[in-house]
Amino acid sequence: MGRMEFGPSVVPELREILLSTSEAAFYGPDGRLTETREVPFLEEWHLTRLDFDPDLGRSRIICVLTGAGEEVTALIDADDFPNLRDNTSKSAGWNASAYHDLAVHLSVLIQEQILTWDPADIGSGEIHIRRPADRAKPAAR
Amino acid sequence: MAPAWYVASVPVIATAPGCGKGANVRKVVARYKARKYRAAGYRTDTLYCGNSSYGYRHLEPHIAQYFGGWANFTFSMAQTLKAPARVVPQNNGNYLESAPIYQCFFAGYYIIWTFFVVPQISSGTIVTAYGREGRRVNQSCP
Repeated sequence: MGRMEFGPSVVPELREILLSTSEAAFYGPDGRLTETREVPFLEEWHLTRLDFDPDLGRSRIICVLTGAGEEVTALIDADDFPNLRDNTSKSAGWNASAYHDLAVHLSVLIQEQILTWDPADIGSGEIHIRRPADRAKPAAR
Repeated sequence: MAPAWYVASVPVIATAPGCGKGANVRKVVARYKARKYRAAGYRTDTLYCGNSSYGYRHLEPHIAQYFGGWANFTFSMAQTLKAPARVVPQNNGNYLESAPIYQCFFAGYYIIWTFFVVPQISSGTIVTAYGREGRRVNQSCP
């Protein structure tokens, strides 16, 4: 059986999310608003590459992020996202954005696994972006 | 006086939130009082059992990466949402909210964690949450 493939829309949608900025609100210990300013989704990281793998095609996305002298290559395999890989679904239960489920889910996973870490704590190397096992499977409604 | 987000580092026996294999994805695990973004008052954010994409089943692996089990984890979620240090509305439809959590040790030092909670902007459904261990300070808790 061949490898699964991603739908074509996931890379441009994910790029748009990763390169976005938004106005963050900062609060002091007393709960007062102290500052608002634009912050990038990437925090202190920079996106240097986001594309399908040149050898594996649409079965793998490569996302290269750099920060503080470290370079992290996130590898995202379609086989790990069998139900979302087409990037055509929108699940009302957890996705109210303008983007499809896979792009939104990948942006959350990349944030959890890379972007909210200090580059010095992660170091350079490869990270496979995977989701937790679906423990809801057998009887979920 | 201790800051509002102070968490004592006493070992806590985790209470299972009841999201075993048969539990419905929309079963409510907890509701939290969450500060509104740039507005007065609070909204209610909800943690559902969910699935691998959101909710308790998505964030469960992060509980073991934090200290104090589920009890401390859900307490830190509550404190972060009620008194965040930073709230970022993101164009993937989620807020990224964070606050420092102090893990205090009787031996006279503490560790500053940053706790993150990611609720959906429109509904308050919690997508994920996790803590990041930060620097150690070699003096008693403030």
